[in-house]
Amino acid sequence: MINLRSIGPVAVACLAATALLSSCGVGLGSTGGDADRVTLAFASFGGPYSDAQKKAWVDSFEDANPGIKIVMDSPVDTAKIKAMVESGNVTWDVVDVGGDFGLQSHGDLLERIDCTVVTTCDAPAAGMTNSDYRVAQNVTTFAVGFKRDAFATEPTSHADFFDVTTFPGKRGLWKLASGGALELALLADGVAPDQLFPLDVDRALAKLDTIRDHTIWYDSPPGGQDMLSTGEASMVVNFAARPYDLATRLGSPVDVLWDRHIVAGSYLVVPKGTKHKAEAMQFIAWMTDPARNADISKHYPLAPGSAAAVDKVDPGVSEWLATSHLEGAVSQDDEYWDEYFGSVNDQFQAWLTQ
Amino acid sequence: MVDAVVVVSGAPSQETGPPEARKSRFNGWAWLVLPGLVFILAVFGWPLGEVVVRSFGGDGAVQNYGVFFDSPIYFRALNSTLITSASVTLSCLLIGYPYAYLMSQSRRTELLLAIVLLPIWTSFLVRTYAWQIWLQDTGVINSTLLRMGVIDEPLSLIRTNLGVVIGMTGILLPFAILPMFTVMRRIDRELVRAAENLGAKPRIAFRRIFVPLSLPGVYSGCLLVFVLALGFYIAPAILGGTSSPTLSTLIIDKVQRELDFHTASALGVTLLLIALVAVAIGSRVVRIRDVFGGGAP
Repeated sequence: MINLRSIGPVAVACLAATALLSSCGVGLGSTGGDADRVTLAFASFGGPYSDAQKKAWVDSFEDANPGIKIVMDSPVDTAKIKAMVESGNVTWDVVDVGGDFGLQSHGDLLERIDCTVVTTCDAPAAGMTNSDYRVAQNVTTFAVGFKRDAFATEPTSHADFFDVTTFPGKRGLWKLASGGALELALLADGVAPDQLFPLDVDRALAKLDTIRDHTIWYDSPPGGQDMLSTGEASMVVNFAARPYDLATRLGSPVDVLWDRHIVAGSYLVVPKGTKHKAEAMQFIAWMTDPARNADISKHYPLAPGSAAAVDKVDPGVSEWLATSHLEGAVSQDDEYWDEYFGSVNDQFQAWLTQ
Repeated sequence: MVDAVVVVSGAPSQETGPPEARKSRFNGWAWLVLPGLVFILAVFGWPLGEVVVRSFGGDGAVQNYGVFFDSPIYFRALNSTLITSASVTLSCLLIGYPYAYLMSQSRRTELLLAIVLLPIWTSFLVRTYAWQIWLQDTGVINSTLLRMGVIDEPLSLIRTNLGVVIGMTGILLPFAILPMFTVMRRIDRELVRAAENLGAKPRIAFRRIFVPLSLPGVYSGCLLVFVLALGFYIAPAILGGTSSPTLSTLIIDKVQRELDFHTASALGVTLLLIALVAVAIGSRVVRIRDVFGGGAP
C-alpha cells in the first residue's frame, strides 16, 4: 500500500520532467512558418543598417520570390556561427560579416559560394577581396570624422589627427585592435600604403603614444558617434557612415577627412549545414547583382560591393562613399588580421593598460 | 504540465495518513524536485561541464591556461578584476550598512525596501547607459560643475576605474543591503537597550552590541557582491577606461573576435575558480546557506 501511495508523486514528477524536456525540444526544433513556404534567416548588424538592407533588397526579393520568406536577425556574431555549425543546429542561412571573416581558413564553418548562381564572385569593388566562401556586399571604411566648428582652421590631412596643438580637442578611437587605429597611426607616421602590411605594431603604438593623453576610447561604433556628436572628442576614427548620419540626420557641422581611409568591407556568407543552401545562394545573388547592389546607397551611405554597380550609386550620397575617394583608400589586409588578430590584440591591450 | 498541477492540487487529502507514515523525512512527493533538478543540470550543469572540457581542448590545457604567462595583459586584467570587485564591495558596504540600519529601525521599511528593489526591475544595460550620460565629460555632472565655475576642466568620471566602481555599486547595492537588513531586523533591540541601561553610551552600545551581531549579514552581503562583481561585463565595457580591463572583457574578445573558445573557456574557468576560492574563504566566517537563504544567524 505504501508503494501505491508513492507512485502518484513519482508519476507526476516524471510527467513534469518529460513535459519540460519535450517543450525544450519543441522550442529548439521549431522553425515556424507555412509548410510550403521556405523561411530564410538573414543575420545582419541591426539598426538603420538592417533597415536599409530590408528596403533595398529583402522586400523586393520577397516580392519576386513568393515562395521564400526572409526573417531578419541581429546582431551578427561570428562566434555564434561557429557554435551553430559545431552543434549541428544552424539557424542562420545568410550572414552579413566583416572583412576578417569568410576567408579560406573558415572553410570548415561555411558553405562554398555557388558562383553559377552568384554572378559577382570574380568582380568585387576595388579594395574588396572575395574568397570561395564569401561575396562582397558593400564597401565600408574607417575614416577620420571631425567637428568643423572645433578648430580655427579645418584639418585637411589624416596626419592632423596627431597634431593636438594646431587642432585641439580629444581624439576618439575604437578600443579594438582592428578598428583602424593602428593603420591610421602608421600612415600618419609616413608608412607607404603598399608597405602597410604586415603592420609594424611597435611603431604604430609609439605613434599613438604621442596622443595618448588626448585619446578617449570607445567600445562600439555608436559610442564613437556619440563622442563626436556631444563634442567630447573633436576628431573620431569611425565608419564613415557615422559622421554622415550626424551631418545629414542631425545637421551637425561634421565632415570626413578623405585623404586617407581604411577600407574594411562587408561580405555575405552561408553557414555550413544550412537546410536552405539553394535559396540562400539565390538571395545572395539578388543582393549582389550589379543591377540592384547599389540600391543600398539610397537608404544608407554605403558603396556597393560589386564593381559593376559602383557607378549606379545614388548621386545624393556619393560624396560620402568610399568608392568616390579611391585615391585615398587603403585596404585592410583581411588575411593578416585573420592570422594575427590574437597576438596583435594582446599587444594592443597591454599597451592600453600601461 | 497541466496534469501535474491538477494532481498536485489534490495533495493535501492524500497527505492526511496515519502519523507514523509521516515519520519518514522523504516521502514520495520529494520526487517533485526531479523536474527542477533536471532543469538545473541541463541548463547550468551541462554547459558548465562543456566549458571545463573545452578549456582542456584545442592546443591543450597548458596552452589555454598558459595565456597568463604569454602576455602581461591577462595578469593585469586578473589584478584589476580583483581590485575592482574589492572596491565595489567596500563602497557597497559603506553605503549599504547605514541604509540597512535605517531600514531595520524605521517604521517605513516597505517604502525603503521599494526604493532598493525598484532599480532591479530596470535593465542593467539601460542603467549603465544612464550612468554614462551622467558621468561623461559633457555629461550632467561635469557640465553642471563647469557652469557653476566649480571646476575648469571636466573631472575624469568616465573611462576610469572610478566610473566602473560607481556604476557597479549602483547595480550591486541591493545585494549588499538585503542580507544586512535581514540579519539586522532579527537583532533583539532589547540587547542594545540593556547595554545602555547598564551605562553604555549609545555610541558604545551600537559598536559593542549591534555591530558584532550584524556581522553575519555584513559578511553575506560582501561575499555576494564580490562574487557577482567578478563576472561583470557591461559596466566595465561602457564605463571603464583602458587602464584596467577586466577578464570578462578579454573573454568577449577571445570568443567574438578570435573564435578561440578554448582559451576563452580557460579564462572563464579561472574566473570561476577565483569565485569558488572567495566563497570558500567566506564560508569560514559565514554559513553559505545563510548568504543565499537569508536564514537566522
